[in-house]
Amino acid sequence: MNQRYVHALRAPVARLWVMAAALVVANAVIAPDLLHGTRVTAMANLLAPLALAALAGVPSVLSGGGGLDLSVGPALGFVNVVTVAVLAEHGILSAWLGIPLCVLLGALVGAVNGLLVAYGRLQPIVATLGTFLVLSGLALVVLPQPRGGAPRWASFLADGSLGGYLPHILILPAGVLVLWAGLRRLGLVRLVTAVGSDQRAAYTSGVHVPVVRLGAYTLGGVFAGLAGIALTALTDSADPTAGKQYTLMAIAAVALGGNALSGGRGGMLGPLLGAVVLFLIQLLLSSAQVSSLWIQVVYGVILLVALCLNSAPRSGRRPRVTAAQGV
Amino acid sequence: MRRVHRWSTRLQGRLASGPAQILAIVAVFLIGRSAVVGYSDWTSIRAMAVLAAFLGIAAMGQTLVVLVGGIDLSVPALIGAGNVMTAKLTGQGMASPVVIVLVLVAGFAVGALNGYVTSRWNVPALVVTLATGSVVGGIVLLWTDATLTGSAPSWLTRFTSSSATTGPLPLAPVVVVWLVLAAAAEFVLRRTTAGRKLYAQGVNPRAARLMLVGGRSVNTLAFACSGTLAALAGTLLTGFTGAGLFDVGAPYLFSAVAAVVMGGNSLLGGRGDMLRCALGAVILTELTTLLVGFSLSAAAQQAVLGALIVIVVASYGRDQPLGSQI
Amino acid sequence: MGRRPPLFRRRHLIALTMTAALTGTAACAAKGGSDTDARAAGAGTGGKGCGTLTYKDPGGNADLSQLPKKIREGYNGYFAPVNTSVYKDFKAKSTGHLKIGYSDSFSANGWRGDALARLKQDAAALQKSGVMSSLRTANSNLDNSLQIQQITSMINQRVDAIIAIPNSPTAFNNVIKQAYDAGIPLITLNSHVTSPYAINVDTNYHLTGELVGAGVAKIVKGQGDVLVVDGINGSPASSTLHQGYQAAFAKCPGIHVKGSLEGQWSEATAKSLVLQYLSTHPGQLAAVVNSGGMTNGILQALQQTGRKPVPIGDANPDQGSLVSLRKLLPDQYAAGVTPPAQGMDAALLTAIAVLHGQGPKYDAIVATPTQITGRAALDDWIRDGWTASSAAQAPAPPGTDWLSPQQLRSYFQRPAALPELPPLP
Repeated sequence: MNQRYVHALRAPVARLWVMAAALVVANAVIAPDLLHGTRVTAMANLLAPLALAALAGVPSVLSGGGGLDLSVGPALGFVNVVTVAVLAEHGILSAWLGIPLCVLLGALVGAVNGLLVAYGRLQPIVATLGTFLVLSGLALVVLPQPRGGAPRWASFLADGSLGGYLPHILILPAGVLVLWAGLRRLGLVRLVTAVGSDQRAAYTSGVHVPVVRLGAYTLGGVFAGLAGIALTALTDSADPTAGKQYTLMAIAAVALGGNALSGGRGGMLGPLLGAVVLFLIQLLLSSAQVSSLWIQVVYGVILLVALCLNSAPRSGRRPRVTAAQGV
Repeated sequence: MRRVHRWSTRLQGRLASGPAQILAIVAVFLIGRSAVVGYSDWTSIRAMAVLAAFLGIAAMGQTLVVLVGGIDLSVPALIGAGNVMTAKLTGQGMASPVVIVLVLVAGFAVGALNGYVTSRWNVPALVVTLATGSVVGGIVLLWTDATLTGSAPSWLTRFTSSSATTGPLPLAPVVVVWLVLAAAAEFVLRRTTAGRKLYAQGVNPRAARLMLVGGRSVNTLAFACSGTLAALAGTLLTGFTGAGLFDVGAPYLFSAVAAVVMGGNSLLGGRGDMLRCALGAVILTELTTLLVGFSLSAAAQQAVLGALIVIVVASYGRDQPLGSQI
Repeated sequence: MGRRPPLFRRRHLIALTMTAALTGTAACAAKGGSDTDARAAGAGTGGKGCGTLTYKDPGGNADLSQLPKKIREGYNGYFAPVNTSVYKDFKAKSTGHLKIGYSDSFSANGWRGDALARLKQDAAALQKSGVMSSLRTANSNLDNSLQIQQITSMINQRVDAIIAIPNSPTAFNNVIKQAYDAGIPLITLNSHVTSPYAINVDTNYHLTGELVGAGVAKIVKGQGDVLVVDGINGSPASSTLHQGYQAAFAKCPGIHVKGSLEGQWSEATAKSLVLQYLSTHPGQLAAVVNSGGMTNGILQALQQTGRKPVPIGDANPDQGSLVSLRKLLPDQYAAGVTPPAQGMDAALLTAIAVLHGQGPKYDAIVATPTQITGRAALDDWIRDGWTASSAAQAPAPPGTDWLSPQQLRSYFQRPAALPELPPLP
């Protein structure tokens, strides 16, 4: 029985659960106030953009070929800017119109990335670095300065909670997980993993690799759109420079979640927990009164330690050689 | 006949890493020359060369890391650290050679740590370097108490001035140092066992380990070189502005990676060289200068630069279609 | 693995043609753009007002007319409306042994470093005299949600007041309201927020830009092309300064703003960009103005492209810039100043005054900027040991009255004695 627990603990996701639980306890001990209903909502609001950004980074990484979406941050920032500076400006204030338009915009950005990677055959980092720069620039062109005036649905998402415990904002990540589960059911996720783990094998067995990649990046874009909505809800305003910082955090969360950055391996739960762990580390540093100059150092060290603790166990003594490595 | 054919294939192989990039450099230059007044003036070229040198040195380290299949995001923090260290230590009256050795050793140590952790625990370099970058940035702030002191030694200021000359050459010494370093690195990569090991590691780390040529030491060395070169770029930047500055490295986070890729190197490891990296740094500098020349707003500059990077790389850096890879 | 790829392919040429086309289009767009920019700047009120200032009320429901003249001048052209403060009848739970939180958004620059050092020095002194019991500091490194989190956790720990440098003027409104609801006043320093529940201790960046711009306009006698080097795009301080410069130059039909660059408040970035700008704009430049601390980079770029130094405007020069100015342009510069130590003192004293129930009149306490020109001012300002290559923040010139405790009294309903702070650096 002991053996079984030890084995279960070897799985990266299990270790993340343990880490997250430990961090929650540590936070609760240091700042017991955090467990009150309104505080929980506030924490959920803070976590949502990061968590969704991490989820947005998953499909592109999963699709392999060095897949990586650097444009996640600017994409969600751009959605945030467009919501306030374009949609609200032109009187599109209804959630039924606004939210789908945001998602559509995200999907559009993702599709452009996907086209550049899958059909343009550009390395994903280059393609998404290009869109990173274009979107950061466009955000400043559309909205040169931060501005308030977000639609009402943004504050609805941020303020309320169902029954006092379940914050509204959780609709967004829940939606992502449901969508992902549906795609998994349909076998589409498996296609992405197949392409990601060995694109040549997938190609020879008749998978249309570019279409699958395009789909993966577009899906990532949809999630980035949702992350943009979460950012609008959090800040109730738009800031043209706010999105960029999410890119590296999102990728860190994906890697911490145990998804292989070389593609083909991993799911949604790991990165989600990775984002939660990153968030809880920051929260702990904020509540533990770490002096401002130390925060960066301590954060880096903890991230490094968490990463090593959660690294995939060395697979035996003998190195395995797989075709995937040669690509 | 056959020998001629073989010879020409080899030549083509050599040139394949060059002509398209050189063509792009020439094309951008000609566009600049015809569209922007003063773009092709001698002062303008010398200024561009100095800017390309800083970018090129930082990108050289990045290239080594990319060759073993990693990526180094601690470059900006190390540039900042090298920059602030140089100013502060010089300000305390330390002799320049000692300062430079100390800075390079520090860069080497952080880089080696990056490489060691990455290969020992088999974790993605991207996140490891992100974390060490945060630690380095924080330590510099703690060490200096977030206040800037000291200044660059005066010889270093001349060394990086775009109006300086190197002997008979009308280029700043920093440009010459960059070119010499790039040539030396290219030689090491092509002609020494260490260099070949780097490629073997990048193409297939597991196979490399089976052949007893890969492993931790190769990885660690590549990252350590990257750290050293980033710290060197930081030191040289101290000469450029005359003083230390914490976030002087910030613009190099993505531009170093962009320079590597614009040269046509593959970020998947095992393919690429220093020549391409140098060409990439030149193209990127040419493009940014061109955009400044057009007096675009900074936001528009950023957006257009993004599009141009994609287009330029698309002209020669595309992967082969999947069907032809089998 | 098949054939070697041919040296050149059709797509190379296609792509290169596209590059050419795109850059060409950009060029045309840019030319159109910059022309209108220059014209807008030139379409001013005629040549008479060049180099002078006219009072412009900031708007809002606050009555500024009862303020002393010198202090009221500080609100000239302030970029946000000034309203009466929600804290005007505020009573704190405790008035002694205060716990103060400080939420900074960035640490890696000299200004923030000096501000933090000053706050620590003040706190140490006030802890001795029993006014304060503790100081908490946090830093978010430009991450908005992290800063919201840090402020939230300060609220959770029930600090008595929060001093903040928020990274965005709008993103913090929710958390500022939370602080207000918890009875914790939040005082911003040099970064105005739109929330009515904050007290902004601010610099009038618009007026600073206008004063420096007017000074430069006088030096160049209202003629010539000017280059503006901004801070970070999207940052309110940078864009407000830019508007101030534009407003000053708009009064001079002979002055055209030829270009603006994003120097990011970094000497290195500013120098790189100005080098690139000067190489590609060989025409005569009359002056360069910048958002602060980039003068040295600009002067070096001028020198290294073989040009003579031109008159400089600097909204907040560093030590090295002042030394270089004295050497190269002692009579051809105009400068403003935003001193970190005085600013921090004012924010801290405001927090204490609010907690003591003195009742702030307005939601913005705006300092009156000064225009510094001439050789004598430099001699006065520069201290022994400053070198031309020091990027450290310059403390305010001696005698600068920057929201001094005496001045602060005017901004409160029931002014009373405030604790003594250590002497300024």
